[in-house]
Amino acid sequence: MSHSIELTINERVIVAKPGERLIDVAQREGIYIPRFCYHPKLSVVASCRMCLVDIEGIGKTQPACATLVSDNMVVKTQSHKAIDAQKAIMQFLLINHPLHCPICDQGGECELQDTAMGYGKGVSEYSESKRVVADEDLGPLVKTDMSLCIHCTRCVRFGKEVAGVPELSFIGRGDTAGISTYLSRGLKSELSGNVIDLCPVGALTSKPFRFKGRSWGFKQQRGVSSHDCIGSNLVYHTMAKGYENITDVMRVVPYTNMALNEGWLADRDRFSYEGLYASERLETPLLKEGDHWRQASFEEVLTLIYNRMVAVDPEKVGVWLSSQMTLEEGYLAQHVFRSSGVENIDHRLWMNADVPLYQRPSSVALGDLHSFDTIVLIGSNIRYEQPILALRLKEASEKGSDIISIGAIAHEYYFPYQCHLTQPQELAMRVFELLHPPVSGQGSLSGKVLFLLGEEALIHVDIAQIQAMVHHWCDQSESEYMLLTPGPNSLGLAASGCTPDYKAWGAAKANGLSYYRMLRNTMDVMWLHQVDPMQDVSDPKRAYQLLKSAFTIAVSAYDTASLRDCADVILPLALAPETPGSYLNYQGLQQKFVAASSPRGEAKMGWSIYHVLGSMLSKVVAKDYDTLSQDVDRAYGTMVWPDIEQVPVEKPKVISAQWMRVGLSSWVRGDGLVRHAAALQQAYPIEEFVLLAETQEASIEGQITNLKYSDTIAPGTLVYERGQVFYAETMGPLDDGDVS
Amino acid sequence: MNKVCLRVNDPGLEAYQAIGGYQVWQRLVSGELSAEVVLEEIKASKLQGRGGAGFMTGIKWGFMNRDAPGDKYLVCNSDEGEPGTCKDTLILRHNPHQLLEGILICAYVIGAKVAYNYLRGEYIREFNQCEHALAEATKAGLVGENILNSGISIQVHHLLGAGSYIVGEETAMMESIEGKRAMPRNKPPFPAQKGLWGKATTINNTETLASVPIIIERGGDWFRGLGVENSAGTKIFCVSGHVNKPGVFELPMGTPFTELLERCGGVRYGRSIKAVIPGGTSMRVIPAKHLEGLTMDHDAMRKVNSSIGSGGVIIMDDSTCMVSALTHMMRFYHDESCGQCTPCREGSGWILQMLQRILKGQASSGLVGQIHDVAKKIEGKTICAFGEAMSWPVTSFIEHFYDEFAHFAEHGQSLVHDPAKGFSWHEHVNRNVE
Repeated sequence: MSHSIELTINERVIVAKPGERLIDVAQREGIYIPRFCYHPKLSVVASCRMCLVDIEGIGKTQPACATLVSDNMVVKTQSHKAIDAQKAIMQFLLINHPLHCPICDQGGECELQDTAMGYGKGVSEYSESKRVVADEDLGPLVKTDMSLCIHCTRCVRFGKEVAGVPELSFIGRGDTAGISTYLSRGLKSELSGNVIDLCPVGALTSKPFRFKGRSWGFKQQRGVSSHDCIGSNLVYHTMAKGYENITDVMRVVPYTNMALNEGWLADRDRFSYEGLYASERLETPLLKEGDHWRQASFEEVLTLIYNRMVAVDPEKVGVWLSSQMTLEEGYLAQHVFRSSGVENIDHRLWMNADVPLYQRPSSVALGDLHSFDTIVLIGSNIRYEQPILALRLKEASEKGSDIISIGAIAHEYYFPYQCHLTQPQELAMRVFELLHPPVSGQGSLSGKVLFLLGEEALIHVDIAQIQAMVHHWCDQSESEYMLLTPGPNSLGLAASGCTPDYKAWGAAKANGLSYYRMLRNTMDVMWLHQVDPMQDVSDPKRAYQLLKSAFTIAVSAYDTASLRDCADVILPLALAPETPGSYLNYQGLQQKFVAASSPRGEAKMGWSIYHVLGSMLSKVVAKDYDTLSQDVDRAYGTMVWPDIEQVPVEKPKVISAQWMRVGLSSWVRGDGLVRHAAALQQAYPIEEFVLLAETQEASIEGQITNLKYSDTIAPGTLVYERGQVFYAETMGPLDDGDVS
Repeated sequence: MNKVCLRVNDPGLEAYQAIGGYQVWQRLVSGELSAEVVLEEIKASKLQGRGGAGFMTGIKWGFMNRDAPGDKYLVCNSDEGEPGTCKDTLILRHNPHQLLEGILICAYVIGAKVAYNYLRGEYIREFNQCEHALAEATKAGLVGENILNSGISIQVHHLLGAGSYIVGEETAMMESIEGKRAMPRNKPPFPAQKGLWGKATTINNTETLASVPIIIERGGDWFRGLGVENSAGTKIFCVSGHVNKPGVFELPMGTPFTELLERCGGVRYGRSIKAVIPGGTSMRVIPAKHLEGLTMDHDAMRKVNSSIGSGGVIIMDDSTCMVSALTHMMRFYHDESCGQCTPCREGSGWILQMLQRILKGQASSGLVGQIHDVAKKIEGKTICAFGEAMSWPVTSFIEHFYDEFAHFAEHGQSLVHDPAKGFSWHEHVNRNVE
C-alpha cells in the first residue's frame, strides 16, 4: 500500500496513506480533533463521540477515530455541524461530571478540563441531580473517584488488549453503567499504574501521589528506569521545596519512546520513587565503634578509609558493586580500585559459578521481536523480570511468533506459550536437547529463533555452558540471543570494567577474583556499593560470614539492619534520580540523564565519592563530572567488545545437588529503591507469597518468588525469596551441601 | 385475503407442507432453481426489511458474494423489542416452518453455512416452538448436513437473548452471539463486510425472512402487486392502545388507516383519536389532524414525517396525557440505553429527569424547549440508531403537542387531566364503567 491519497481537511489538501485514521492524519497536520476514548495504542471504540467531524456527502457527523481516510474525502472539523456536535457531546459529558476541578487531583492535566475550555459552555444548563458512583478500592497504587468517570473504557481496553490481564470491566447499562473490577479485589497487574495515565479524567489517579502537588508546579526531568535492562524512558516530575534549594521527585510518568517502552511503564518504575523518601534513607556517614554505631563526618570517615586502603594488601580487597550504578560511577570506581592494585571487582552478585559471563549488546530491537519465528525463554519469569519486554512478547505472539519456555516454573503469562517444565538440575541438559534433538528433525527449532536467558539461567551453575550452547547455535544460523540481566546497567558495568573478566572497555583481560571466588576466600577489606548483603546477593549466608570477618566499607542509600550487622563504615549515597549518569540497556544503547532531584541530607553522588577517594589515593581522576562523562562517552563510543571465547559444546550433565535456586528476589524487592517504596511493597506484600507457599507446601517447600496459584513447579525446585522471612521462619538456615 | 407471513395457524410440519411448504427449498437444493434466480425474484419483489429501517432486502443480499471464500453467516433477528410490536411472536409461534424455510433459502443464496435465529429472552415459548420445528425439519432431512442428499449443509441455531432492547440492533446482536455484551459496533464496517466473528454476515428481520418462500413460490411481481408503489407486499400491523379490539393484522401495504381502525373495532368509548404512533415508539408520533386519508405505506408515512417502522401501531385517544405518555416511553429508553456512547447514556437520563420534573410540577415552560433541545443534540451523534429512536418521539411529541407540555410545565397539571378544564381520565373510566 505504497500509493498515497489526497484528502481535504478544513480546506487544506493533505496527503495520507490508505488505511490511516482520520484523527491521526489530522493530528499529524496539526489539526487537533478533541477525543477521549481514542488512544493510538488501543482498539477504537468511538464511544465518547467527541471527535465527531463533518464529512462531505455523509449526512451524520462521523467519529474521526473510527473513520479511515479515503481519496477525495472532504472533512470539516470546524464547520457549524461539527462544532455543534462536539459542543453537544461536551455538554453531555459534563452534566454528570462533578465540577470540583479545584480540588480534583487531575485538575490542570485533565483532558476533560482542557477540552471543556474549548468546547464547553460557560453556563450549565443542567439543573437535575448529578450522578454519584461509589468508589472501589483498587489497591494501594490506584485511587478511584468513580463519579468522575466519563466511560471512555481506555482502562478496560488496556487491561484486555495490552496488559493481557482484564482486571477492569464495564458493567451495568445506561447512565448507571460504570467501570469496576466486579470482584472488588484490586489491581494485581504489574502494569496496573498505566491506567492512571490513560484515564483522561480524575477517576483513576495515583494513590501515593494523591494531593501531593499540582501538575503545573512541577519541573519535568527526563530519566531512565533503574530496574530492568530495557531502559524504559520516564519523566520525573519534581518540585522545589522551601528555600533550601531542595528538589524532590513528586511522581514518575512514562516518556513515550516507541523503540523501548512505547507509552507504558511498569509499576516498579512508576512507584519506586517513594523509596527516595523512606525513613531508612541514610543521610550522614555512619561509623561502627565496638558494637555501637555513631554518626560521623565525611572527613573522619574518609580518613579512616584512606588509612585502611593504603595499609591493606590490594589482593585482599574485594569490591562488590550494584548493577544500579551508572556507567560513569562504575568506570570511575573500577579505575580508582584497579589503579590501586585492587582487581577483585564484580557486580554480578547473582552468579552461582566461577565462570565468565559474556555480556554483549544485542542487535534485536524490541519492535522486531515478531520477525522471529520462535522465541525461547530459558529460565525466565519474563513478565516480572522485564515487564516491558513481556508486552512485546505478547505482541510478537499475536503476530505469529511461537513462544517456548524452558525452566523450573510454568509461569502464568498472558500469551500462549509452550512450556518445557524442567527440573533445575537438568536445565542445561534440556537446553542442549532442545537445540540438538536426540532424534534429528524431531521437535527441532526451525527458522529464526530468539533466545532470552532469564534469571533462572543467569543464576544457574551451568550458565557458562548454557550460554556457550546458545551462542554456538546462534552463530550457525540467523538466530539471536539476549541475556536479560537484572538491574538497569549490568551491560554498562561489564563494559566499564566492573567484572573480573575484562578491564575497562574490554581493553585487556582482568585477573581478579569473581564474586563467587571472593565468597570462598578471606578478605581484609570489602567495599560494597549499594549492596545489601541480605537481599542483593545470591548467597547471603556466605556473604554474611565474609563481610563480618573483613573490614567492610559500605556505600549505601539505606541504613538497613543487615548492613549494620556486617559493615564497619557506611557512606550515604545518592540514588539514580539524584545523580547524573547514563545506563546501557540490553542493546548497548547509552541513555543519559541528569540529576532530577536533590540528594537526601549529606548523601553524595557515587561518582563524587570515588572522585574524592581517587584524589586521596593520588590517582589520576577526571577533574569534574563533565570531564568524566566526556571520557566515558569517548571510550564507550570507540569500544570494541572482545571476542567471545568459544568453549567446546558437549552434552551437559545433570547436577547432583538436591536443591537448586531458580530465582532472585521478587520483582518488587530487587534493589534498595523498590524495597523502600511503601505503596509498592503494600501492593505486593511478602505475606502473600508466604501464604502461597503454605498452600503448595507439599510440592515446593519454602518461599515463593512472583508465583501465582496457577503456576506449576517442577519437583525438586527450591523457590525462594531472599529476605528475612525465608531464613528466619520458613526454612531455617540452609545446609551448605544442599544448595549450589 | 392474501396472507404472506401468517398463512397457517399450526406450527406442525405437515400443516405447512399441506400448503406447499418447503417446495421452494426442495427445488433450490435439487438444483431446479438457482440462487441467482431467487435473488432476482427478491429484488423484483421490492421486499423491504420489516424490522424498522425498511432497507431493500434484495440489495442487502446482493452485498454478499456467495462464491467468495471464507465463512459467511445469516442472522435472523427475532429480538422483537420495539414497544408496541408483537408480530414476530406470531410467526415464531404459529408459522415457524415458513420462517425456517426463509432462513434456509436466504442462507443458501448468500452462501452461509450457518444461520442463527436470535430470539428475545422473553420468547421462551417461541423458542421451544422453533426448536421443535427445527427438530422436525432436521428429521425430514430439510436442514443440517447433506440436505436431501444434495451435498448442501446448512446449520440453523436458535439463541435466546437475556432481556436487553439494544440487542435488537444488528451489530449488538452479533456481539451477543459472539458471547459479549450486546453493545452496538461502529459502522462502517457494515455487517456484509465484517459481521459475525469478522466474517460477512447478513442480518434480516423475522417477518422479512418469513416472506421469502411465498415470494419465490408465487413470484416477485405477485408480491409487489399486493402493495402499492414503493411499498411492496403485505405488512403485519400490531395495533395497541385505545381501541376496542387490539390485535395483529396482516394487511397489504397502502391499506387506509381507517380500515385498520375499523378492524380494531374503532376507538374505545367512541372517543376521538388524539395521536397515532405508526411503527413502534421509536417512530415519530402523528397527530390526529394528519390522519385524514393516511394510508399505511412508506410514502404516505414520509409525507406526515413519520415511518412505518416495525408496524407497531399505537393509538391514543383524546384522554391521553402526552406528557405522561412520553415520560413512560422515556423510562423505557433510559432503562435500555447500553451506556456505551455519551449522548445516549447521558441524554436519556437527562430527558427523563426533566420530564419527571414536569410531572412533579417542579418545572417552568422553558424546560419544554430544553427537552426538545437535548433530544435534538442526541440525534445523529450516537453509534447506533438508538439515538434517533430515543430522540424522535421526544421531538415529535413536543413539536405536535407543545401547548400540552407547556401547560403542564407552567401549571403543574395536565391539560387533559385537569378537572377544571375537562375531565380526569380516571373519572371518565369510572363513569363509563357505571
